[in-house]
Amino acid sequence: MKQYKAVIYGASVKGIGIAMQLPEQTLVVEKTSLAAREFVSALVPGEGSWEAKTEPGKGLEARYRQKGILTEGKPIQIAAAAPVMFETIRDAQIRVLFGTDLKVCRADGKNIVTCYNDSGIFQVCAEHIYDWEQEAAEKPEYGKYINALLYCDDPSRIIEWENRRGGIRVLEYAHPDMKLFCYPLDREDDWIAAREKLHSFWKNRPGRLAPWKIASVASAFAWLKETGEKGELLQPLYGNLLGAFESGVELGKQWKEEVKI
Amino acid sequence: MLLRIKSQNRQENISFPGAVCELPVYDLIVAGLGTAGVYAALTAARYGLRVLGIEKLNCCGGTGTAGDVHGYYFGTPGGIYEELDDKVREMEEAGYMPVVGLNPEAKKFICEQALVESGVEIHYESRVTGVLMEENTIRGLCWVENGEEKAALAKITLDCTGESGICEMIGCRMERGRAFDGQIQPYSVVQPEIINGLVEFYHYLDCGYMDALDAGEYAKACVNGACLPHYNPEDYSTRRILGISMLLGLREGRRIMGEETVELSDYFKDRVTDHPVFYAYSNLDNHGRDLAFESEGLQDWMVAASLWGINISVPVPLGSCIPQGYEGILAAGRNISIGHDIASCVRQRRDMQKCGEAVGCAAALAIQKGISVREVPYEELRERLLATGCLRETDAVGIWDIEDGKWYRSAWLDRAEDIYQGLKSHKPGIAIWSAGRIGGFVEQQLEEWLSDSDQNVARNSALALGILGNRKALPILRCMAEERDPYVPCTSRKYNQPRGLSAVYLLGRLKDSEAVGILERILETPEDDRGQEYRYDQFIRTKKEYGFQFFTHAAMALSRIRAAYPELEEEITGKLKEAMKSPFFESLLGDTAEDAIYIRVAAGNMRKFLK
Ligand SMILES: Cc1cc2nc3c(=O)[nH]c(=O)nc-3n(C[C@H](O)[C@H](O)[C@H](O)COP(=O)(O)OP(=O)(O)OC[C@H]3O[C@@H](n4cnc5c(N)ncnc54)[C@H](O)[C@@H]3O)c2cc1C
Repeated sequence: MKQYKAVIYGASVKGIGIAMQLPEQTLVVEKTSLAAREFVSALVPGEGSWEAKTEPGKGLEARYRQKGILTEGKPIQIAAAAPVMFETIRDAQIRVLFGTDLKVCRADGKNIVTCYNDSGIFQVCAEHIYDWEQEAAEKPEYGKYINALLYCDDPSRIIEWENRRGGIRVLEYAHPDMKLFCYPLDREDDWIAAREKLHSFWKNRPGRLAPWKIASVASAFAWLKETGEKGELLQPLYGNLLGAFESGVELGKQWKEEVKI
Repeated sequence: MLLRIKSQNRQENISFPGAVCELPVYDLIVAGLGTAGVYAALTAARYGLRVLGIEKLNCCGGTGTAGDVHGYYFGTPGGIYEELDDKVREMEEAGYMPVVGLNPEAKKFICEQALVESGVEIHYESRVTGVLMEENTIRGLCWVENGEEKAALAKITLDCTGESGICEMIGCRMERGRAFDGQIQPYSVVQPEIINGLVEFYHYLDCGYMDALDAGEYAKACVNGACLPHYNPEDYSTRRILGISMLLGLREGRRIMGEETVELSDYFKDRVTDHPVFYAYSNLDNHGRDLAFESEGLQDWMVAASLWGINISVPVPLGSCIPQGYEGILAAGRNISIGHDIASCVRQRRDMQKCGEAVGCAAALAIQKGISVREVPYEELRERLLATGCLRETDAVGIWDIEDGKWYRSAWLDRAEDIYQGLKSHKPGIAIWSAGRIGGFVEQQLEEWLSDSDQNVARNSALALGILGNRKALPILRCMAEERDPYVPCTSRKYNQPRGLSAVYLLGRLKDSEAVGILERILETPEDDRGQEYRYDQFIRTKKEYGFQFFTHAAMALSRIRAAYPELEEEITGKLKEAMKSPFFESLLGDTAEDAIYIRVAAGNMRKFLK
């Protein structure tokens, strides 16, 4: 059975940051064909600083700025952020098994990971398991949301919406004719319940939202913490994509040190 | 009971580790709630069956929703999908962006609600991992759901996974790709984007080729596809990209070998089923630019007659959804038993939705009557399908063509005079094909027309005679090949073939040993247009593509001639080897342009297979 230092469940941004530090000794297992789903597919631009502290973080930030995905004073164009993460995977030669599910068992103090994909079933052994969704969902201050991108032909139709604790948020997006719509869910809501809630609300939405249309709905749940004075803002773990990536880089470095020892 | 699983790309049998008697029992399990699966599950549930739906993603609709291919490309109307589509349109109007086709978010929701309301038990984020079997009968499935292994039994299981993953696991005979190199149609990454207030998805690229049932190849394709500059441009600042789709765009994969197989060669000879369960309607939309490696039948249609854009209507029997030799299983979707040549027609979304409905209906009948799916009485099935419009008396619409933006029903010609006029026109394809279909008395006429004063009549007659295998066409065909006749007909709405290229193909098809010199010269200077100043179009866009087309067709023609004349084997093999070491060929292998992936791959395959 092949041994890895870490198996990372989900090609999450933090997971890619970890794997970048020790690409030979990590296996990333992703159930879909996408990377950075917790930001890109969940439609989470995040909050906070985009000033990188680590070298890999600086590289990532530069790439997003270079491509006009991240521009000063605006939220990141998060829906367009995936290809740069794929570039990172390719350039760092990170092993990601897309289209793969897993099951983890503990045996003799180790994690035995069973992977399932279209090539069949196989097992590997790992010292660490990292799972972004688990990390976020375990923290009680992070709530579950289904987000959507809104669009209006006439961006002068300002949405008069009060963003407040516990409620639906309408947030700015990278383009003035688009907004981010965040709908809070119960933690136990599955996809059927989440869609039912979102679409029922939208069908009967208040007139203020009437000129706006749903352009796309997130295909991953967002785990977000309320911030700001009135809880009007929403923040993912580590603030934003860059924060998550750099936290992964730091953790990866730590695990790399452990390998050396 | 045996559990059949796949491990490192190989089938394995183990005995089921749990207590079979404690497993939940359903009438029907539908694996894959995609384009076909949704309608299979819905139909069966509406007939009162207890249905379990297992889907690896977190929504319904597959390629049409999660894959963001939300437009319809031809296909036939009718059936229960229309009822759902009306609701999707209604929902879209009440606050969703207009899209090319049907809004995918609305479609996910409407399909899901319809399944829930009809009592289908949906398990999302559940990947099928094994099949429970008793001899050659499928008794149920195993899957992994949120890190937990689960299993259930069913009277019938449907493989609606697009790639025949379940049929492959049980050991059913499979087919994949074309005979020459096993190549299938290319895959695409789909990246929906708001353009002028409309959500579009069509600007995808043919990203290359892979075997989606090989996890390593699949993973590589995800990364390589998304990194192509087409999807990862240098400036996003004014773009309104909505993301990359959750499903890679797979056009073709493994197909089951069914009790019946729909083949293009049969369609050409009017040998079609008289017990259809649905009709497919489209052109042969094969995304292939390397036609030289396709079968003779397909090349007769596409290369000799330039009929790419002609729409055909293909009846599909239930037998093509029944895996040969197995009980308790049916397939629905693009993985049914259809030959590679016609698979590019029998795959459009409308028709795959109907395929799901037909298979769901057949499964319900079999279960209600307690019989095998093979014994389902056709008349009863037909009645039920006619009642919903999945099958309609008017479905057999023959062939369709387009002129000045208007579609009209066309027909094969049967009178010599009409064929003559057709050959003379700038849309000679229908006449060329009609002559090939009739043969007999028209063949003699064609021979006479070879010396007609009208060059179109003479040369197009040679193409028709070539399809008929008549060697009297050879002198003109040689001349057309030698000249690189640049005439491009207007038969098809896209992808018409230069006549010089059609001639090169036919020289090989007719195994013309006297053409060896001409063909070898083409191999030596493939890009030389003999001063004809070729006018590039959608099919041949650059000088490189021009050279690629002539080179590949000449190489394949030579290899056909070599097979017929052992005495020429050494010479031709030597020439082919030399050509595949030439700077031109090296430039094909090393072409890194993103819209020329097919060139690189085809060249690699040539080196491998054209020994
Ligand atoms: C890029 C592209 C463009 C196209 N353009 C058009 C167009 O414009 N118009 C048109 O009509 N057609 C178009 N087509 C064709 C059409 O979309 C497909 O042929 C059709 O949708 C296939 O339907 P299906 O049900 O066979 O597969 P899918 O719709 O892909 O459904 C298969 C389902 O099975 C699920 N699945 C797979 N494996 C498992 C497993 N192990 N366990 C559980 N679930 C599983 C998948 O997640 C998916 O939901 C296009 C196809 C592609 C790829």
